Amino acid sequence: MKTTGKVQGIISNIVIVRTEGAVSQNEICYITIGDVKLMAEVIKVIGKDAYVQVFDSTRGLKIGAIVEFEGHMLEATLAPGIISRNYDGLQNDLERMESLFIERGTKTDPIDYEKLWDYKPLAKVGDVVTAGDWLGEVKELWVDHKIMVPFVMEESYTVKSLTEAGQYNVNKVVAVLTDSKGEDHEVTMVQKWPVKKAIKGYVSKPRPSRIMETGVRAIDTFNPIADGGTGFIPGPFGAGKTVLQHAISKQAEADLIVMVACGERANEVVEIFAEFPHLDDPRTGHKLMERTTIICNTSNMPVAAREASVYTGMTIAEYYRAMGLKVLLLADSTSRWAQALREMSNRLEELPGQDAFPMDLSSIISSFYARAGLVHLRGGATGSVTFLGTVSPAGGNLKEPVTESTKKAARCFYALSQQRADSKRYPAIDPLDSYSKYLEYPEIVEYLDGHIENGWVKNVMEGKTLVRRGKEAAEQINILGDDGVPVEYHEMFWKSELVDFVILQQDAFDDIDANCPIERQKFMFDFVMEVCRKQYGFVEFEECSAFFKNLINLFKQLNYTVWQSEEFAKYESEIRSIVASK
Amino acid sequence: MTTKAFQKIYTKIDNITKATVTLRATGVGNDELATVGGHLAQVVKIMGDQVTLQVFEGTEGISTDAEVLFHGVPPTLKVGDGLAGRFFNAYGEPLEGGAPVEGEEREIGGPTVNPFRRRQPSELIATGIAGIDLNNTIVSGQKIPFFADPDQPYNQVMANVALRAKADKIILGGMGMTNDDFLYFKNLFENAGVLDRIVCFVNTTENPPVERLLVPDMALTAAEYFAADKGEKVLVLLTDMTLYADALAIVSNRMDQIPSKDSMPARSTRILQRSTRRLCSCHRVVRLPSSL
Ligand SMILES: Nc1ncnc2c1ncn2[C@@H]1O[C@H](COP(=O)(O)OP(=O)(O)O)[C@@H](O)[C@H]1O
Ligand SMILES: [Mg+2]
Repeated sequence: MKTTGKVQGIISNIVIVRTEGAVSQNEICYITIGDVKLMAEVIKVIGKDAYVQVFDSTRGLKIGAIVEFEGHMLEATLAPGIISRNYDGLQNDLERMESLFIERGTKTDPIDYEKLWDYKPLAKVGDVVTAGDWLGEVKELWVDHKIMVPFVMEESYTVKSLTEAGQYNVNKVVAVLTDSKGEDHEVTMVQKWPVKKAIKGYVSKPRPSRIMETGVRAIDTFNPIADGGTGFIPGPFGAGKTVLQHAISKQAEADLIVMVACGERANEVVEIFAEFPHLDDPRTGHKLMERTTIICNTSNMPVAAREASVYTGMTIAEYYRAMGLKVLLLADSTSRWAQALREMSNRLEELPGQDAFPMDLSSIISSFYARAGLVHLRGGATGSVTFLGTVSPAGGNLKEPVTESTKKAARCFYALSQQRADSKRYPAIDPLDSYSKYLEYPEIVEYLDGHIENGWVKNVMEGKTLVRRGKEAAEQINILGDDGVPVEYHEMFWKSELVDFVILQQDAFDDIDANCPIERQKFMFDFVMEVCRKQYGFVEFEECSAFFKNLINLFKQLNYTVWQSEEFAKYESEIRSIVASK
Repeated sequence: MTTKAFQKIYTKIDNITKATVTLRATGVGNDELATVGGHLAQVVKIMGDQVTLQVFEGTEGISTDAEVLFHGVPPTLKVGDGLAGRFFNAYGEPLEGGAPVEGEEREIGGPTVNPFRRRQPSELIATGIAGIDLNNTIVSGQKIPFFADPDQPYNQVMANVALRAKADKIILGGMGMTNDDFLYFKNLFENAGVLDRIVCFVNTTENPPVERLLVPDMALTAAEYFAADKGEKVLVLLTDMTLYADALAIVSNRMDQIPSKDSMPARSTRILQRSTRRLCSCHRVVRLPSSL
């Protein structure tokens, strides 16, 4: 019997429900208003009163309206057919909503329950299995989508029977599992999981030991993110957070991308809807949309579903990770999620923390980031969830709670600077403030030295030092004037400009420059460092600046030229001869 | 405002704050409109039989035995072609007298557009202002904020954009506009002979600030009518969002809430966010899929 209740109070989208029966924290309920039902989640219980946040407008709602509790938390539906869908924060398929406007209470199926899948079993009768073990698989687009022992099944089971290969829809029973008490459990291709809980079902979660290529030089070369790692991109409005995330979503070396558009402009997602079905994944030749799932709670959609959208995204990412896939989760912007939390907390009149954010903001953010990671699965395969979120601090002030809490949780920090954006030095990732903690991991250093070249990380550190010294030189030149400093200061400064223009800056809108594979990054970085290591002994600072301006120009041409083409070789030799002749 | 027959009239207000009144009433819907002693108000909170109303003009002079009448509907706007060329107050009532607009009555602040049904903005809107066209091109279907100090001529710039943009309708939402600025816009549009393309919703500095909160939703409801129902290209100008935010601050201060950092009350962010659901900008263009 479902618990029911009646509306007792309404404060914007918080509704107080007088319940008749048991309710649990975070339980989902539906409030009846006219002929629609509004979905809501319990966020506080005081005596018989459940405080629920409604994921929709409460306009017109009256005292006494009937509320039905569902007996479960907010869940994601996990089954074949998720990839390339466009969901709202509650996993309603936006494409299935016919009308231009999203009417209140609209619900659509997250997957196609009719579609037939080519199923084949993987397990054997008599196998002992636990949650997450692979029982069978279907082909979802190009992915071997594993049908797993549902994550909610907590003990070990013996496979009693398996359905033979064939064409079935997702509701087909594909296995019967027997528990220790001898009770049988039927398993279909669909399972549900409460989004706020981490999906476990793996053997271990080792430290990440390799990097995930993004094709962005300022990331891969200077501050790489690990496969299964975490990072965030804080930056003021207009600094390029979204452009950077979109570039990564197109280029990253991941099997699947889950993008959460959280409280930002709807037009930014529209761009993806329009482009991704036509663009090719540079690595596989599949269309980009065939590896992308979008969760969309843009600024015009209900604020209460912001939080749900990031958790739904994470749950889908974890689900595919359990199949041995490399999943990249992107969220833009996590600040909007935090603001939604603040709003709710304020309305509940909880004791506010800094800037009125909830006291436990930091722990909410860190337990979310903790769900990312590389995992070893029982069958021997590995899977990963790499998470990269943006943060939009008001006025670009990095000393605010969301940025500070995220800094504690994420291992890579890509600070976008207003100054760099203003001078159109894109991507505006500040080379000195930003960091990747992974460069301190011995296993990552070993990986990079092995996969890129011996001594790579040492060279990268040398490059970073060069940029820092160039900045110091520029400050001195600013204070003392061009003639007031030794010419070496100018040389130092111009070398750092060379690194900046050629390695750090990258045109996200140029077909060739936008995506720089690691092999090309290695070549360019080594080449630039080779030029920078030479001491030129200029006499006049004008001579120095003219020399480097010319080089920067030629190097930029190199970046815009097809890798290892004739033209590329031509620019390369031109640069080499200029450098040699000086 | 029409009122239904046999409507119950309440005459006992329990609490009065600077912006709200609270009374015992039943059968009231969230967000619905009411009149309190002749002043328009909106339901902002219901606790059992205690209903809290936000009085747009403020509660000055309201007595505990003032008549309270619930309308049973949230704020609406009658949409029709007759909106064109007219000037309205924040409630959508004609400013210079004249007949009310005929048409379908629509709730303001209703459901939002499905992002999947939007089309990618691509059509350029030329404004003839080099600084905008070259560096910050306005594309149809997009929102653009103008950031300006109070001493900068942002209203003139926006008026210019409005006049030069090749839009079928221009919806102006004025919030906390001085009467002089309002007349400036009005004369400019009149002289340019574009009045038939203009719809204005205006809250001037002479009007109660809380009324401003209705302006963006009024303007967007009209805009969505012309864009979605009529397939027109619509340009929405909202000026000025800082004064809109000020109104939010006033509301929550008057509701006796504790102001949070930057004097932007914690609670008002919710209203700000609720409103920004449908606008983020000083101006935006609504463009609809060609399939419609
Ligand atoms: N890598 C880049 N290359 C070229 N232009 C860029 C790049 N990154 C950002 N921009 C410019 O900056 C603008 C704002 O970027 P956006 O990502 O929308 O900012 P944010 O999300 O931080 O508010 C873009 O429209 C684009 O013109
Ligand atoms: Mg952005």
